[in-house]
Amino acid sequence: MTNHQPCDEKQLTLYHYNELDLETRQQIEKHLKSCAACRTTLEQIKASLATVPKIECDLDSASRLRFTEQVMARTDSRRRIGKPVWGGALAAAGALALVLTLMPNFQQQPLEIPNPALTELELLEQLELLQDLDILQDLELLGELEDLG
Amino acid sequence: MTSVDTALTNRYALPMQPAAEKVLLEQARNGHETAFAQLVEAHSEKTIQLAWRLVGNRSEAEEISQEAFLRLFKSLVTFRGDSRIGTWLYRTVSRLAIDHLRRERLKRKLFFFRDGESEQSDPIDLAADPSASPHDQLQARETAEQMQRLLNRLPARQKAVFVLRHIEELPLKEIAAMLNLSEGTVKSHLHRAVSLFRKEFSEAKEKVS
Repeated sequence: MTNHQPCDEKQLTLYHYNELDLETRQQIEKHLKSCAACRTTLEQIKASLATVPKIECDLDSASRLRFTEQVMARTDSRRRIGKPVWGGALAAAGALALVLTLMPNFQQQPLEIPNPALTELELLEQLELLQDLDILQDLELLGELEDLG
Repeated sequence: MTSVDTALTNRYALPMQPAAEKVLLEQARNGHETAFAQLVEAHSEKTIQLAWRLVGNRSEAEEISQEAFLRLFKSLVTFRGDSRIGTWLYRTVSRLAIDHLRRERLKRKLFFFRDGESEQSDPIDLAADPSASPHDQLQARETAEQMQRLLNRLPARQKAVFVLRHIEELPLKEIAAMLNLSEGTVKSHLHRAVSLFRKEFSEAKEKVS
């Protein structure tokens, strides 16, 4: 933003946060001296941001200890889960081999057709697995477009 | 020490000296559980606070923080120590929080839930100026609640950028690196968020006057 360019709110935001290089910053300061509208906008930015609440988390030592114990319990359980999974897999493989040996005429049964109607709960559980799906980004983009009107 | 580390070091009293952290990290790598527990305890407050500011809910913040520490635990062997643990946790918590916010928003969209208008029940620092009149105090509290609701409605990334810049006071360059975004994108997210706050604030003032 210079004296010859239209007023730019984005530049004022970056000016407020001290995120501009020195030259641009000086240009804005010069512009502000002559532009009442930009001065008002900057004041509004400052005043509105001053009202944004700030969460302060003061964990006492007991809470820190409880949290640490919860994390450590989960690291323990992950380790415990890890071992039987291999043991279980080996046992299952052994059992399958035994069944196939003892039943030479074993015929494959038709697979059970799963119920196509997922309950809402199951759908939610599947959503929990979504980590960084493009559709989520698209929805966010749509949300932003909505915000812009 | 990376530039992100420098930014964090400049702004916070770090919970642990780098040398002590390195020793504990090495011990944790060698299977000493108490060393890892010490690291968790030292970093828990900052980590929960960041997650709380990002998702706006204490219990969800603790859940996200626990997940971040579990990921650190799983990565101990490969954690090279190029960055400080605090930096690593900040990055991981920010990304987990963004994913969490997106999932929550998607759930609401799918099941037509209201968009978190009244779910903020955690204690927030909304204290008004005690020297102001009761009327002004009430007005300040209402404005702060309105701003909190707006913050909760921001798209996940926009909210993360705003919280990391405005509340955590990290430079945009570091935020871009943490969230794996371009600096231009981060600037746009910040501008959009600030613009919404300014409009909301102006409308609130007009209503009062």
